[in-house]
Amino acid sequence: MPILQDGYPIVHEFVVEGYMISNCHMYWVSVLSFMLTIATKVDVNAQADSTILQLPTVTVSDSTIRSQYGPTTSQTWHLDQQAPMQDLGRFLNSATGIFIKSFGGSGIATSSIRGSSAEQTLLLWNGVPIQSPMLGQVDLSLIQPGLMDKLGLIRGGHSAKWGSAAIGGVITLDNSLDWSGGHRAGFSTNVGSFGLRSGMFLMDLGKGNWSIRTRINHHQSENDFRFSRGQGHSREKLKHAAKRQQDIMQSFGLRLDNRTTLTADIWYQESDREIPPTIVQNTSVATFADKALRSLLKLQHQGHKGIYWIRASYISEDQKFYDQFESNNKFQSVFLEAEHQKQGNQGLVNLGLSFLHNAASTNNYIKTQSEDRLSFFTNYQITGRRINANFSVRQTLIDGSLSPLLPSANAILKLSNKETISLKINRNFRVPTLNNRYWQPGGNTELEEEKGWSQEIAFSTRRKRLTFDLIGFNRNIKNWILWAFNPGDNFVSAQNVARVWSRGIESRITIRTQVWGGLLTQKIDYDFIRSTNQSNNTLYDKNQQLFYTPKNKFLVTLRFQKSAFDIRYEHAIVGKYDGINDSLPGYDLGSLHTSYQWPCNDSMFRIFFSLENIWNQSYQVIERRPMPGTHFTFGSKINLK
Amino acid sequence: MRTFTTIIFLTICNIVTGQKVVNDFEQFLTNTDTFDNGVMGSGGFLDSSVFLPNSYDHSFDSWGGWAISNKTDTITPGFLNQYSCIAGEGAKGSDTYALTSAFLPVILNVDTSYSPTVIDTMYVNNTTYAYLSLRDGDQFAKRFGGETGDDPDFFKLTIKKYLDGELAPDSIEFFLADYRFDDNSEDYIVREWTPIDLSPLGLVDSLLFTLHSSDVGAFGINTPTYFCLDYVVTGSTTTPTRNDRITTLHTFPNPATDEIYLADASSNTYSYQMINAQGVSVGTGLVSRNHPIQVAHLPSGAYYIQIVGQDRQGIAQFIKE
Repeated sequence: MPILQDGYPIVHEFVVEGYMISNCHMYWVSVLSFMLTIATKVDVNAQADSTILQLPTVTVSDSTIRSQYGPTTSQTWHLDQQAPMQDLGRFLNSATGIFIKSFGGSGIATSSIRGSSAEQTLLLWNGVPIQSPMLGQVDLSLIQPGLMDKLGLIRGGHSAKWGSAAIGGVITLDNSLDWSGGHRAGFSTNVGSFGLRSGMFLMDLGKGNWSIRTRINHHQSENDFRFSRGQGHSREKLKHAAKRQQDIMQSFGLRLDNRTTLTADIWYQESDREIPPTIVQNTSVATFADKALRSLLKLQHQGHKGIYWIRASYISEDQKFYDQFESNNKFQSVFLEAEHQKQGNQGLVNLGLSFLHNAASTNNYIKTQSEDRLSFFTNYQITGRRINANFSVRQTLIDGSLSPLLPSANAILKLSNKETISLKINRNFRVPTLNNRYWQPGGNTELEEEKGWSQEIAFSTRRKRLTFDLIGFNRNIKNWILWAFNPGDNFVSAQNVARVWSRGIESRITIRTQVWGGLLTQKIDYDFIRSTNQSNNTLYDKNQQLFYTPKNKFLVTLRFQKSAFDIRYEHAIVGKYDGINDSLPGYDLGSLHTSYQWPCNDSMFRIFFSLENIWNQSYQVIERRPMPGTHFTFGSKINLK
Repeated sequence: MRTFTTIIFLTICNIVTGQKVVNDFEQFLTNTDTFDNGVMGSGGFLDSSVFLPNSYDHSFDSWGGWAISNKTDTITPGFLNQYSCIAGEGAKGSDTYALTSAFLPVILNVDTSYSPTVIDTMYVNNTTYAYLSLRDGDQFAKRFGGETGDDPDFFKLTIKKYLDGELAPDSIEFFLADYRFDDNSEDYIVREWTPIDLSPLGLVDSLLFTLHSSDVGAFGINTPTYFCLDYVVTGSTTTPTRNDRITTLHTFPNPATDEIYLADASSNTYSYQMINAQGVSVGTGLVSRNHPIQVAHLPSGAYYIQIVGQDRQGIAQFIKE
């Protein structure tokens, strides 16, 4: 827990387990932050970013009732206002409440939210789950944030609202259309260290009742950064780490009448990556190629008795992994959902029905495997003067068998205009993936769903200059699926052997002050997470913290915005944690992001510069996978009306 | 036919000389650059005086225990080249050799006609898959010596003996790779066939082989757990007097729940030994055409039976449900 004195953190007394934060750059960050705070006049009503050009987007609204999470649980970014980042994994790396397990360079990136596994994060694209039904994961390093308009990170279990896999949390990616009727074009480019070259083209066309948005992205990087194999050894270049990726996303919108809107999104993605050698491997020939087609058709109708949505999605993905031999994985998903939401006398209520069909094939399945899930869900929201409450229930049929009934209840109690307390209790589950069930060898068709309850209590205060959230959470998941050895077997198999107890505290302090005619924002976020195995199995000892789950994570942010100028320094500190082979010592990383923009009539030109790992730390997030030292990205963006 | 002739020849030689018996596994493969991983359900490989158990799981297309190979690829890294020896040949310039995937301990049985006996010598070597992984690392296993070359890594084979069903505490250790030297220039990975003197173990019924590596994670050994074996020389403390006929036998019912019968046995009584998929003896006794072997007490899994009688000896494989 951070130690506070008069509301200010005494940063130099922070202790991460096994890691005393006493290095000089951290100290100067905290001193500077402290001095600026006490030396300036407080006035946060002046929004320094008021000059930021707000792009004219109108979102075809999704179910509002299912998007109510509360400020202590969710975090939202309007990505058009962000400096371009190479991928979603890197973007979320500087968020708290989530730990990104990055293999570095061109490697994959997965998430752990509140000590969950990567399969327990649900990724929704415009409300449609897009993770692989084979692995249960999405590689966040293949998601280009610039393709999206809005990103949401929702911590905590939300299976009652969104279904399987939303145990740790939900990441939402949303696109929108410009219905203002004008034509607009935008182009951004980035160059950076290690051969980074990327560009994105965006174009809006529209008139009256129709709108078209096109996004095209190209990314290439060599990722040939230098790393050291230890003291006394010269630094050497990482080899075989190049990445190429192209995306094209086409969105169409048509207003059929004043009450009915039809939209369609088609997103095609193609990537080729070289998998670099580990730090204890001489060479690598491994490659990974991925082709994905994601499409969505959405109809929204504002009726006299409420809003109706119909969503239909088709996703197809083809992955080829090669390392001496080729492994070819393919899957297709069809998702259909109908939802009705209306305002009743007492509150907002919705009813919905969704159907998901997954089919997959690979060299390691005996035949093409498939599954069908049919879910019924309902949500009810009451908004009162002192209390807001939300109740949800979901029932899913998986291949004709009933899964556990999933209720959830959330309540936000207003203590005053500025203070609230929120309480949440949710039942969550995750359906075993197709690999869990059918992979040869080791797949287990007898697996049961992971299931359990989570609770959360949060205190929140929103004052003029200070925002403070303190959240405590607790989660017990039974039937946790592990790939582990059965006695006598020489291969690992999927088993419901673990019971995992996750609990922790999240603290977020934001202080805003006016200084030098601009706005200074200081944030200190801290996560303490214990996520321990509570059962007897061959992979973990009892009470052992899960692999790749740091107990402590700090994020200190110092941001100054004035007129069109924006500069932000972030310092992330991750405590030590265990990997599969060794313990990892923890690390701290500083990064600097700055941008300047020139509005000109309805157009805008903006430049960005980012310097990451400023202090050139040598570290690994995944053992044996080196991460880059200091590196930069320079970018520009132009929007023309 | 070649197999039969070779065995008879070796058996006759042993009777005549009363001397050492050499197991060089040359009889098992007729084609070049190939391997036998037990896919035909033989349950193992019986050479002159030793038996190498094999278990093959058709549902997963995976094998355990021992395989026989004459593959010569010393260059290609990775799992797909798991059947090659890094020497590119068998011991003493021969074509054929045995190899094992020993994530779990594996066993070598002395044929009951010769058991117990002294095993004088055997030759071991690394597979190409293990050798190149030890030298270069792969996506899962480390390059020995680690990031700096200074890690004190080792890949060790431990050999213990069974005698009268008891596992003896004595062991012989052999380092297939050793990077523990202060002077890194002394670090080595075995790539030549190397003899191991097993005579200090004395009389044995069977040998238990266990691999250990310094590169261990939560899932166990990261190093590919393979090694090659050839030219196993057994001693002459027992001289068989039978002109045995070695055949593959069949049992019924298969799968079995309570008891199994020999399908094509004569009216004679045979001694038998039951061995599980890990190569461990789980029972011995006598069996005849009308007296089945009781298997109700056995855990579910694959087993094989080695029988010896006046008119024949052979192997049968069965599944216990």
